[in-house]
Amino acid sequence: MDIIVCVKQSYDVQQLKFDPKTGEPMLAGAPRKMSDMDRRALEEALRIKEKVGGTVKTVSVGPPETRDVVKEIYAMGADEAFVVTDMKLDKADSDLTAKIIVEAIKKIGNFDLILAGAASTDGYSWQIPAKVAALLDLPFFPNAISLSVNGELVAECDLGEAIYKYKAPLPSVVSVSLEINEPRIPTLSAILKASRKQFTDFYIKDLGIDIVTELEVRKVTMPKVERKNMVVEATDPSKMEDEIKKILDELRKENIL
Amino acid sequence: MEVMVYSENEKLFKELVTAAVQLNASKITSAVIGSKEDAEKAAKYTDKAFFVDSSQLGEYKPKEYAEALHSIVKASDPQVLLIGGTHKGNALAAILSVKLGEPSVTEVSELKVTEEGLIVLRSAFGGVAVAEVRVGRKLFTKVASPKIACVKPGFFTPAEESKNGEVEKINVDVKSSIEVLEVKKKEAGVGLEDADVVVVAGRGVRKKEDLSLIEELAKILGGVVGVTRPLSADLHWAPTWVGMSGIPIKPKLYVGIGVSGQIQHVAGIRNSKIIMVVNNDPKAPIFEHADYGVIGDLYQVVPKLIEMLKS
Ligand SMILES: Cc1cc2nc3c(=O)[nH]c(=O)nc-3n(C[C@H](O)[C@H](O)[C@H](O)COP(=O)(O)OP(=O)(O)OC[C@H]3O[C@@H](n4cnc5c(N)ncnc54)[C@H](O)[C@@H]3O)c2cc1C
Ligand SMILES: Nc1ncnc2c1ncn2[C@@H]1O[C@H](COP(=O)(O)O)[C@@H](O)[C@H]1O
Repeated sequence: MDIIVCVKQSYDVQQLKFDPKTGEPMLAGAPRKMSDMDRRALEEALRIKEKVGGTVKTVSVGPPETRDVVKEIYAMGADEAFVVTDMKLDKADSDLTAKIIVEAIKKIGNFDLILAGAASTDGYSWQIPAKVAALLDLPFFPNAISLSVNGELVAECDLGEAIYKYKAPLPSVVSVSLEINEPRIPTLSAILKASRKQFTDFYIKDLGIDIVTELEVRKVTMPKVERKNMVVEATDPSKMEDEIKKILDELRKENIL
Repeated sequence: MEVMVYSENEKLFKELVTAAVQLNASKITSAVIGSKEDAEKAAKYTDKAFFVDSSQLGEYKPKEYAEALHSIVKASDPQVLLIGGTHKGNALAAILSVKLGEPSVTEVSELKVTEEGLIVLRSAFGGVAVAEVRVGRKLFTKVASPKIACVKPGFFTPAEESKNGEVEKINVDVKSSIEVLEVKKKEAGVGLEDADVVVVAGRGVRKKEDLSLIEELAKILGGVVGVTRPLSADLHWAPTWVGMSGIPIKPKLYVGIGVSGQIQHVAGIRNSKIIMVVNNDPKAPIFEHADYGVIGDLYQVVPKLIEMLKS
């Protein structure tokens, strides 16, 4: 079973800072991390490999900072990592990213299954895995919460109002939900070994793709809601009632109670 | 300008019709994958309803349904295609986007059409921010190649019946190698979307039985109980969760109990009028988003709160 996993190095959105003057995100040097659902996709691939054998390869597309994710990919246990990087790819939209992933996959070679996250932590477009599937004319199953392969694929997908259980031939493309598994934490020795492993860097021009985007982000702003931030400490049992009362009094003043 | 709308969700379908009206569409059409009756219903809201008989397709399958929708789009000439931004809709939009060679944008909350094309607001950086995005460089020149936008639920008022459009059946010949083994419907939620008061339990609540404490508080406040994603999706204590990827809420009062305040949760509660929280970790990010915060153990604070509210 040869599996290719799409792994994005996302911005760590929880830590993103905004310029207080312009309200724009400060992206230069902002911390990044492996996209949360992609970590589950990689974990799921590794578990399948542990059961039925085969290989797990990854493809990551993005700006040069994307290379940092490779160490973690290897530390978790992937066989081979491929990256496609270019400065301009920080602004890539889902069409461009999907095209690049597909061209990279064609170079990587044969596969039985493509796994991805259902939505990336920063882009959150829910588009790329389905576009990869469409470009390759393969079946697609979104937001899987369980997966098994045995010559064919059985996936349970959380589609909102119901869970759909699909049976499909391979190869197929599956995107996974946050809850599909609990990803492993790499051991220290695995991390040390990982930093010495080589990976393949594809260049955009070798893939024969022009960097053009159809979506143009014109402005990004932080929706700022002013909050009162009144905080009381209710850890001391003897003072708890007085402290809580302060807040209930405020709520009464606001006609909430 | 023709705007076509599609959603498998009836309420969201009506919201899309309102969005299309606000775009000043001269013609609003609807795509339906369902029965003739479904199409007749849709035609009460749109100038024309095109439908593919879903009995030909069976239960929802992304690739096959996208092919059906593609046939419908080709039969009409929309410049904009609005799709309900559900899991099903997002997947259809992506596949259709590839088939049509036109861009798609998801998580949309507002949209307008100018000389420059379709401009939308969508969430950015995983719900932290809002981005203004122009969809497509090519303006509306090509025929039958709409720009695709997936609109989030809850941002437009559902439209009322106002039309008596015609209905046209589109025949498709879709072959499939995929089997739907089972469709497990989820139980209905408690109406979090429209509640005035929502008390949300987070992972600080240790056992399912302890939810009764949260329920008691919600009852006194005249509200309903919601949970964070791990309590629903991992532990299955409730059918749905509050937040960006679950149900976004806008109550008069939000009370978060043992909720840490990760951005994906906060993105879905930002429109609450008042936010009150109880958490034993003074460094929990939720305090930054709160009007009123109580630092303390929920197992002491909540019973006290209930007692004080009762008297
Ligand atoms: C793409 C994506 C989408 C997501 N969408 C959503 C979403 O829509 N909604 C959502 O909720 N999450 C979502 N999440 C998950 C989110 O990132 C967090 O993991 C989740 O919100 C955390 O839930 P929590 O606050 O209940 O748990 P935790 O983060 O574990 O927080 C528990 C809190 O309880 C406090 N606590 C512990 N014991 C006590 C006590 N005795 N008394 C008082 N306080 C106590 C702790 O200090 C802590 O702050 C999403 C994640 C991703 C990656
Ligand atoms: N730049 C990228 N490189 C590799 N995989 C990606 C990239 N962007 C998105 N993906 C994959 O597509 C999934 C969904 O992303 P998105 O469509 O941005 O929400 C992610 O979870 C990844 O698995």
